[in-house]
Formats: sequence, C-alpha cells, structure tokens
Amino acid sequence: MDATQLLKGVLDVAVLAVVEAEDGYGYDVVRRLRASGLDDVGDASVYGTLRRLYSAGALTSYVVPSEEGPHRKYYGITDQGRTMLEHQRKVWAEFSTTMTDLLTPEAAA
Amino acid sequence: MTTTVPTEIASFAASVRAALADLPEDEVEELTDGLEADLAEAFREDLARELGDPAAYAAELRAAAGLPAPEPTSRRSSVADTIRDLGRDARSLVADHPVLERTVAFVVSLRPAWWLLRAWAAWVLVGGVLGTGGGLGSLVVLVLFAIGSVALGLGRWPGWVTGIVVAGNVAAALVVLAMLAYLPSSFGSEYVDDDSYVSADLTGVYLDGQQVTNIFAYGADGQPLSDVQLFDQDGRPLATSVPGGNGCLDPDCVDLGLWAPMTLVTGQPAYNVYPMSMVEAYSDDYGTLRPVTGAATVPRPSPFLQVPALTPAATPETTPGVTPEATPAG
Repeated sequence: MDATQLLKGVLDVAVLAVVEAEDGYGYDVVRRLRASGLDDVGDASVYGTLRRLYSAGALTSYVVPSEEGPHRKYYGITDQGRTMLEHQRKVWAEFSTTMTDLLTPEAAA
Repeated sequence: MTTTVPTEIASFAASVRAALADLPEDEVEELTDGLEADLAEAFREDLARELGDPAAYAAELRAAAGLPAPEPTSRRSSVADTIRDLGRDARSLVADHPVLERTVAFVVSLRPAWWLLRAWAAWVLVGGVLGTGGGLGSLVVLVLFAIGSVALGLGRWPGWVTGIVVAGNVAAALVVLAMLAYLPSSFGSEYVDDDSYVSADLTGVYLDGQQVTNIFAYGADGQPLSDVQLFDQDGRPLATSVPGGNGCLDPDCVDLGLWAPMTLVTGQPAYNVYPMSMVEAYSDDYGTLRPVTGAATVPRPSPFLQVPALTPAATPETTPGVTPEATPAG
C-alpha cells in the first residue's frame, strides 16, 4: 500500500490541523506537515488544498508584506473550519479504530 | 547556483500559470499567488531539490484545489465547447428517434433551396446597399450569387471559411425574415395604394368607386352616338383618361393599347370625346407604352348595340338637345 494514496483522503484534515495550531503560509504548512512525518506530501497538493479549503470557507487568508522578497499569503482557520476539523477528527478516530481492530491479529482472532 | 534559482523559479512559475490558463484569471491568481516565494524558500532549505515538470505541478495543484482538468484536445472557449456538446446531445437524441431522424434528413435535403434563398438574400442586400435597380445586369448578379452560394454549399472548407459562412447564413436568414415581414405589408399597402390612388389622384371618372374608362352614348332613338364631346357641370372636359393612359385591347389583356384622343379644330387633343378609341401600343426600353407606328385606332366594343328608345312623352324637352349633339355624328 502506498502512503501517498492514503494521504489524499486525509490531507484536508491534516492541513486544517496544522493551520489550527498556528497560522501559516504555503510552504510553512508544507514544512510542518513534513516535519510531522508526512515526508511525501507534495507542495502543490498542499497549496491546492489550502486554496480549496479557503474557497469552502474553512480558512481565511491575509497578506503579510515581506522586506526581503515577495509578500506571504498566510492562512488561518475559521469557525467553520474548526467545526469541520472537529467532525473529521471524530470520523478519523472511528475509522482508524476500526482499521486498527481489523488489522491487528489479536482482534481478528 | 543560488543566484540562478530565482530566474528558474520565475520561469517555472510562469509555466505553471500557463498550464492553468484555461481557468478563470482570478482563480489562477489565487492558486499561484505566492508561488515564487514558496518555491524560493523550499529551494533555500533543500539545495538538492530539483524543479520538476511544471505541467505535472500544475495538475497536482489543480487536482488538490478540486478544479476540473483541462479539456485534453482543445484550447477553445467554453462557449465553443458548450455548442459542441449541444450538437453531440442533439445528434444522439435524433439517432434515438426515427421520426426525428427522418425529419432531419428531410430538412437537410432542403439545403439546396436554402443555398438559393441565401443567394437571393445576398442579392437583395447588395442591391439595397449599391442601389442597383432591376434590369439584365442585376439578374446576372443574382445568377452569379446563386452559383457561388451552391458552390459554397457543396464544397468542404477550412474552419475559418466555415465561420464566415455561418455568419453569412445568419445575415441571410435575417434578410429573409425581414423580407417575409415586409412582404405581407407590401401586399397590403399595394391595396391601400390603389385606394389612395382613388382618393388622391382624382383624374378620370368614377362610378361607385370603379374607374370609368370609356363612355357610350345613345340617342333618343336608342342608337349609338359617336364622337360625343362631354363636359361636367362646370364646363370641364369629362375625360376618363389622361395622355398616356392605357388599357387592354382584348379581354385577356394580352395586347395593350393607348387611349387615342381626338383633335379639335384648334389643334388641341381632346380626351373627352366618346366612345374613345384605342391604338395598339408596345412597351419601350424604359417600360413606357408607345403607340405602334402606323397602327390605326381601334374602336372599343360597345356594351350595347342599341338601347331602348325614349318614349315620346319624355322626349319633347330632350329632342332639341339631342339633335345638335347627334348632328356631328352625322
């Protein structure tokens, strides 16, 4: 099984969790996801996901000018995003428990 | 290395934007806003990193953002796509219904008629713009248009020609519709014109709204009179026709004739002398009727050979009046 395939389904909730922890700009979110262990996450996937969550109203965005280069677009979570994240946390918890139970030899026996 | 990266990044980002060009401009802007900064930072952190395929990068960006993949075959506008889709839907609908299929086949079989119709429309349009009148030249142009239109319809042409033809067809259809809208009113106005002719141009003599073209006089004895000069109550010549006035020589109106006036001793033509005769006429190059040279005047058939004579009781007053009139008839 490829972790990249699994990642596709949970990238939304992963990004929401990272941004909820602290506002961040595109590459900053990528860096934190990778630091958390999702080494294979593609930066374009993260940027696209940020854009989609923003369009869905789960994220807000604001521009921070940079003295050294182009400005940074920061994303922050909205109330709607928090609600979405809470719901998906529960879904993930149930799903992962089910999968863990299913895949653990003792439980299968 | 580090100095070259920004240029590479800039061109990479430009390629990514180009690969997203089918999306709305503001969507591309939102999606790639800050892309250079993010890429530059990623390269500063990871010097071993390589710039990949901008198209693949764009596809990943697009998919993650939940945006549709580009149409693989074309870069045409979404309007053109919509029209093509509609065409496809219509074709499959037609294929599913035999009645529709036959109808479409029938309509398609009428295409040559449309080719001629649009040639006529173009001819009307060109004639209207250039102000060309009737005549042989105009007819030749119509024939040339018809040939061109049919040739255009039969041939296969590159896309841009088809585009022009479609635009031309729309224009031709508009002209035809305009003419259709105009035709009934022109028929109507012809009738109205006739009416207004009656009221506006009162030349001539009218009986119950119908023009009197000739007058037949009969004497007290009921016999026809000839060469009777008539005047109205004010002494004006009672003329049923004006110079140039024409009518039919025969009941079927195959031959046209001109009303032939008599001549007074003063030398003036008199159009109030009845019954009036006609002279055979022909239409000259300008459509004007001219008397056939050398043709004799033809008397018009009288409605009655004779009419009942007057009773003597009614005649005493009339007889003196009739006599001087009957005298010139001899």
